[in-house]
Amino acid sequence: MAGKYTDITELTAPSSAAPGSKVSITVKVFNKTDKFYIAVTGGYNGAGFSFSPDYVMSVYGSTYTFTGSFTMPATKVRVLINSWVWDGTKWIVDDYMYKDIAVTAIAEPSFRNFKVLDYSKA
Amino acid sequence: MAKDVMELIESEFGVPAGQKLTIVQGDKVRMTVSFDYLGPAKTVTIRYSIGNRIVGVFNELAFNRGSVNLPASDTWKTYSYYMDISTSALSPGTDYDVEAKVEEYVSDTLVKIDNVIDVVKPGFRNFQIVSYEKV
Repeated sequence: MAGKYTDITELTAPSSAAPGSKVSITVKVFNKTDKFYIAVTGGYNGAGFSFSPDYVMSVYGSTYTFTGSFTMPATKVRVLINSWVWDGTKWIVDDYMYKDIAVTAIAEPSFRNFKVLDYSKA
Repeated sequence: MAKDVMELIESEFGVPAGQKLTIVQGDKVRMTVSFDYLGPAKTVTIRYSIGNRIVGVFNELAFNRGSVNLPASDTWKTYSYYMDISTSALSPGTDYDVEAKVEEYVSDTLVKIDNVIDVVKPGFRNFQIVSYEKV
């Protein structure tokens, strides 16, 4: 995709994840104008999640990396990422990119190496 | 039978599994377990026991149990938990055994360690007049 002020050049996320597991998202945004502040938001299946940093003071022609994460639900998700720019009075949504993440089957509960480590007088 | 004082002091620092721990009757024993888990999010109950094994049968005399929440994981993750067990039900004696397990997955988790806890009776020893003087 391409925005008016920014381009989301990269959205890194797994193609599948197990329910309950942490899904890490990395987004790279290229600033192609003189807009100063850039931010990124993300959502999936109606839920939102935040990115770090909250925003950056950008320089024309530079690329910035944002990271975020959420807990994988029991259904497949479409992760939608938006880039935002500050026009001096308000945030304007600019570019977007999305990626689908499938649900992987998770193994049956399994234990190994169960042992008593030590015992002491409490 | 009273144990040597130094032996009692050393036992308060805890011992690795397999070594002998000597306690005074009524003390609490803190038992620590560890294990690896892989699978969906699960709440399980860990049981920590002290008892006597007689002809292969474990006679549980003291125990404690607690629930733990294991998060979902598709890779092996290592966990460690502990609980304190009251030993007031144990009579003075030697070579008590310990067991631990996840109650919902006994066949995968049950561990037994024999002859590792001695219990001594609370009491006095060597009570004596050390000196007397004018004050």
